[in-house]
Amino acid sequence: MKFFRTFNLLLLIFFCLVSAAEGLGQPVKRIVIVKIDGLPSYYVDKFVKEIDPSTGRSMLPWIEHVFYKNGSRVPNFYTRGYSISGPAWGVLDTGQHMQVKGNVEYDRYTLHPYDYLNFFPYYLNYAFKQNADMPAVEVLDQLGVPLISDIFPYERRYKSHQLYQRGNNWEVLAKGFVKHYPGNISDFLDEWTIGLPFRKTTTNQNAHDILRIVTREHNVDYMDYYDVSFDHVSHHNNDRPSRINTLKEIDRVIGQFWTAIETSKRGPETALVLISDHGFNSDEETYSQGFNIVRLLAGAEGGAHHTVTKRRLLLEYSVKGIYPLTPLIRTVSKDSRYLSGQSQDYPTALVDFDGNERSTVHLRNSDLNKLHILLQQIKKGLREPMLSAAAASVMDLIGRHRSKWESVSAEMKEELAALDRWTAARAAKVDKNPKKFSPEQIAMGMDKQARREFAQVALDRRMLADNRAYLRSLDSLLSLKPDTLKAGKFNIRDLIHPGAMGEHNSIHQLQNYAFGVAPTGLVIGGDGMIDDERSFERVDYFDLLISQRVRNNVQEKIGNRPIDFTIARVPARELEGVLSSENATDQDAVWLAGPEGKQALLLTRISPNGERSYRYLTISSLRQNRHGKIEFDVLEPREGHPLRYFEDLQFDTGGESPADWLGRWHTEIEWLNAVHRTLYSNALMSIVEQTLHHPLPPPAHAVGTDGVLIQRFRQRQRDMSEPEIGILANYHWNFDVRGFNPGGNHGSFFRVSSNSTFMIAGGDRTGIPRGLAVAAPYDSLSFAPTVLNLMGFIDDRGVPTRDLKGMGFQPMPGRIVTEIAKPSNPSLSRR
Amino acid sequence: MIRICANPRKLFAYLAGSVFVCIVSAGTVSAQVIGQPAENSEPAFRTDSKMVAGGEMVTIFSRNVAKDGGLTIVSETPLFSIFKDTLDDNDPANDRLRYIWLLTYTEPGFWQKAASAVPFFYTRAGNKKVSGSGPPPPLIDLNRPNPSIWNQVFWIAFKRIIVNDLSIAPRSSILQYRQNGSDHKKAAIASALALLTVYQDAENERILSDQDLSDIQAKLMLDNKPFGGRMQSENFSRLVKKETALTRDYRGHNWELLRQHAEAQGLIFDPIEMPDGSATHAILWADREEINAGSSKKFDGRFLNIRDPWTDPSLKDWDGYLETRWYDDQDREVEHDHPKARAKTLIPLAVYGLDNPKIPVILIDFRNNKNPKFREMSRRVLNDVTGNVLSLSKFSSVPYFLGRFLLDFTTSRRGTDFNQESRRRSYAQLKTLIALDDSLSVPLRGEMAKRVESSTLNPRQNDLDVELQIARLQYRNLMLYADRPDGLAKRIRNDRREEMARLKSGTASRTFHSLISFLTFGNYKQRRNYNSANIAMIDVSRRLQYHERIVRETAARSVRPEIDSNVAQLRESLDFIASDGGSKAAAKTAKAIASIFMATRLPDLRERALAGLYRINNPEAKSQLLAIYSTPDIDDHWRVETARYLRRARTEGLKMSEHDSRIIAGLLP
Repeated sequence: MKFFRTFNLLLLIFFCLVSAAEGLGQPVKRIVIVKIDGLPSYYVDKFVKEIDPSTGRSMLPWIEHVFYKNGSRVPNFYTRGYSISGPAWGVLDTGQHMQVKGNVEYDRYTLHPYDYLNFFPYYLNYAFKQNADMPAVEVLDQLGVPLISDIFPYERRYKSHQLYQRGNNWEVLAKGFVKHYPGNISDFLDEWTIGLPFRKTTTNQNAHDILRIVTREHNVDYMDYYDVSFDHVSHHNNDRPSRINTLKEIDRVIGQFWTAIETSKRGPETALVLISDHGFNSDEETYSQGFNIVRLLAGAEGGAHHTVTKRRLLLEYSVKGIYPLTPLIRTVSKDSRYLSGQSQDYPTALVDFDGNERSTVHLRNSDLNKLHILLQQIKKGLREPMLSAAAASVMDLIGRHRSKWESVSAEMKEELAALDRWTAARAAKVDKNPKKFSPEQIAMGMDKQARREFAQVALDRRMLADNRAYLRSLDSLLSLKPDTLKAGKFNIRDLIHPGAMGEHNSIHQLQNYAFGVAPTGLVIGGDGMIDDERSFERVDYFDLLISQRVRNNVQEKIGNRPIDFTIARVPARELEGVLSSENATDQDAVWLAGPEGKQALLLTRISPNGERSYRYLTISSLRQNRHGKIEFDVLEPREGHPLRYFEDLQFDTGGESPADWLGRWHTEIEWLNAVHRTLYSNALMSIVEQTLHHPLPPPAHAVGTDGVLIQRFRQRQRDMSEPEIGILANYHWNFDVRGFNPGGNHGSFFRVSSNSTFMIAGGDRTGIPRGLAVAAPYDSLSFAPTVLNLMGFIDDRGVPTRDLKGMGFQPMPGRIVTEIAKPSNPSLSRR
Repeated sequence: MIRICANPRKLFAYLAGSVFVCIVSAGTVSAQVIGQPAENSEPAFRTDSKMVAGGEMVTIFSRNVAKDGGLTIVSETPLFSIFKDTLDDNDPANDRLRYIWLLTYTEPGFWQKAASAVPFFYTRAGNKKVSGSGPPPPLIDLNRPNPSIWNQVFWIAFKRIIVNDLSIAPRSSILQYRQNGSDHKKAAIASALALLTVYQDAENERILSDQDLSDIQAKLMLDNKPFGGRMQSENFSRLVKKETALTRDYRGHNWELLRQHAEAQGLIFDPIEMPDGSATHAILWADREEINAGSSKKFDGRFLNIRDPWTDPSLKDWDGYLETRWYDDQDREVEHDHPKARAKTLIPLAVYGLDNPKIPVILIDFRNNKNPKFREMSRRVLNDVTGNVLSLSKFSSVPYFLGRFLLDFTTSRRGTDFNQESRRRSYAQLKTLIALDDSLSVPLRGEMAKRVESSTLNPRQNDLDVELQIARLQYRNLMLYADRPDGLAKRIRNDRREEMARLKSGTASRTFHSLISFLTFGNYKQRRNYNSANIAMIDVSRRLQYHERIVRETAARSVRPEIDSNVAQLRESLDFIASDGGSKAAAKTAKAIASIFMATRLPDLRERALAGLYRINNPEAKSQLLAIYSTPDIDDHWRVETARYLRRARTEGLKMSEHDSRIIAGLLP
């Protein structure tokens, strides 16, 4: 008996040890991630399979050797959301649903710009110890979304210069600069004559550092290398030699990394990953053509807006363009109907054109425009009865919004008070941080952490001040009295907050957008107020955008319509009772408006376990009346509607007719499998990802009531930074206004732009399959969980370890690429 | 040969366009009438090769295809000839590209030279008389070290010491003469580059290898760069790739800029493609109907640099060139019988070059010939007044320096078309286009050719029709010269004798002889006897350079040769260096070989690398061997092998530093 007891005890100990060993025995213990901006998988594949006549080998011999022969790749890997860097790297670097949704975002209340791609102010502020991280990381920190690199302690990770950069290392710049001298005068003169590659100063040094770390510093577990050269050259040049030369340089870096890994002591447990954020739409025979959305919006036809962009128009052609710190650029409309000379205070359109195959637009709330116009008219001195009518209309407009505005004001005051308390507490802590740090503390990143805390406090204080200023205006407007109004005893600046866009426009407002007094002037209606229909000049933005044409139609592969379709959110509450019971959902819908009245409605359902299903509804003539009622005609699936799945020969319905297939709800995986090879590939999921809100639970460091309120405020900020209209360019069209991108562009949902690269290879102990091409499609939500699963940081359901949970990591919603992470899975397709 | 075209339009085309298109055969220039309809993919060029004077003369002809009923008429124009010294054998390893003759480029006539010395004389001074039987001047000697940096140094010294002390008139004349001469050469180089680029990108039969073409382009690009002459050959292809990418970047941006601005101003954008399919130029047109209807739209001429067409009365009564085109309902150009065709009568406004940095450069203004010319002159006048008349240099006064900096910065930033270098290239391309492009209508080409000539500033420049006559004549003369024993053959012999002298002389001797050569205006050249031993020496030297280049290129770009390089070629080169011929390889080659040794895992490549390092008789090679020996984690086998080579080198008294020699002496056997 004693023997059995002892035996059982030993058995138990054995199983515990085995389990522990399995838990700890993650196959990948060190990782090197090569992040290449804008590298399409199909383009890499094309050149891997092409023979270089000068060597008799693949044009990209190292990618072939490392990933095709000795690693795994996911050829059908897609960006989820717009194929632009800001959002795409956000999803890849966090493994969470999209929080950063553009390369630049604007807060509608405060006009605070989130300029995620502007490195210069970041470096300048860093030099003056005003910040620690790039803006995108600051936003994620506020939301409590950690980056996958945060898993590794500061001293065990090496991060390159990138969009989601945490901390900076001046040594990289300094050493990189010195390395422009190749070691002897003869080589230097040659390099000088060819042109020193200043653009690659930090990138080359990053590569150099990583090679050193891989071979010599065995305590570092995470390294990433970020290179934008391919994206840069592809925007400028569409010719094959320019692009292939850049690709060959990347291939060489991969060769260097792989060779270093192979020869390093930790090689067997190291994985090398090649990942890109999006694809690229570039054609050797076609220049990408630009269409100027800002000019359209600034013109009378487009609403005569003073327009805000993050960069100057034709930046490269302007002397002022050399000034790199300008946070917002205002393009003045010469046709402005009522804000002439007030472009600094009252821009009415905010545009993000980055990526360039898409643009997003915020427009000032149409009713705010009407209020502004009427207040101006009153201030100018209207006579009775027009004065009374105008005053009554102002009060009516305020009345219509009163409940919403009062609720916003009350809620925000609560949130700001909580934020104020929290900020004060943090500020006290920050004040106690040491001003100087020992080398050991610096090596552990403590100086950067202190600076980070300081920057977060400063940012929150700015947010507090800006939002309170907005609320003051809102409160003034709400407390406006008819007598004061009629007497003209008000200041418009006190009532209409400069720079504020107000609440989002409804579909109805965007279809009837007021931007000036009608040419016939204000008209009094039968109810004694201003006749809303006849008194204002209006524009229907959906019709306007989709009707744009150009006359110079000189390239064979390009049509004369620059805009493919528009995107707008339709709140779920506005669809209540409109959708049939089989289509009803509690999620917001997305309306896609194409030419000739061809439209679609994308519906989403999210089950309690988080599984998503979608329904593509072919519709036409969607309109919303002034009371909020939405109407549209539901059509049988047919050709020509946005996304064109119905007629796409690559639409894989498993033998079912496209009309039948589209007539039902399908899960996300079913959709992805069916559409990923089509012209628009995973556009449906991407559009929903881009448009829906993705609320997060309060982060670990923001607990209690204040924590909840602060999180609500952060979510509000995210919501208020979401644009109202997404504009998608037609094939080979773009919306770049900063300069010209004839080489090619990205940003759209076309497969060429969303098909990105994910390849991985590892040493003998990593268990990463060799020669594997995963046939199944995946999107960018799968990247982080796959890598973290390989490293043992999350389980097969995407749930992080306890340690990671303590660091703020949440379960990851993406599917793990099981073919790679669990190669015993029988559904493998080996090449 | 005389051709008769049945079609009146074709006949007119041939008569009017014979200037640049139909080259009536003369001498060895061939023109053919082919009795079958041509394929659409008729190559734009033909390459002709001829073995002469111990080498290969390659001539590139442009081909123009005209259709006349069922017949296709192909005419050819000789563009340039390239001589490659092959040392009378078939081994490409000892070949040297030697001369390029741009056949339209010639020495200016007397009056042209005289006019080019007249200050502020910014116009052509007639054409050179087309006659003579002498060989054409080579545009560039590809194998001669570029003297540009020394020329500049000597010129600056000469200018400071002598020219600046002269009175205004002689000083301006000298400087003007030199400037025009330099510009004339630069224009020719720009033409050659334009032609080569088109030739390279077009689908043709090839005699010249890609590397030959790339090397020629590199040499032409480097001709005007201060340190260009001494660039190491392994960097040529990087230079060409970078410059080509930059040019394509400019082209794409300008294409798009012009299209967008044409669109915004209501004009019609019409890119013109070179025979290789690249759009290097564009024409802007206005719709006559719209002009007559008038427009209230404010015209924004920035970037376009032309007068407002909507308020220009001359366009309302336009009696110049007109063209009718048809467009469908999507504004795409279609044939006249297309069901949705709408006719538009178009007035040409301007022609732009697209390869200019920043903005398209206006080359022809159909309403005002002087517009591009004045733009062309603008910077030239400024430079001539400040430099030639006032003798101001950028660094002579702070106010001038600041003013000039501001002007240059502003114009460059805003893209003001003030840049003569790029305008020169655009003109050269436009001439090529006019000469080669069949898609333009003949009258339009004639109109463009006429206006291009009037924009020229340089008195040394000939007009296009004369240039093409010169090309024919020079080609004939060059072929005769190549066939004469006292012609090209003699020249090549002398070139080889100079090459021998360079190989046998030390640095001090070379410098001394170079100085004498400079002082005698190039009449004195150091040469050696022409004998088989010396030829053998050249042969070995050239092969060594060829193989050194391969080794250095491989070392520079390869991570592991067996994965990413041509190993067979590398083996061959390492074998050559490891043989007797490699003893004189440079220190840089030794470093490259050591780097290849460390990169490769192929035993045979490693063995060859060690043998090569042993063979190279310079201290760096032995230092590299010693460094390999001292590498901590190298296999014992290679350490033993390296030690063996080191001891052997020491025993044989090969060159090595004393420090290394002492270490090697201590190596265990």
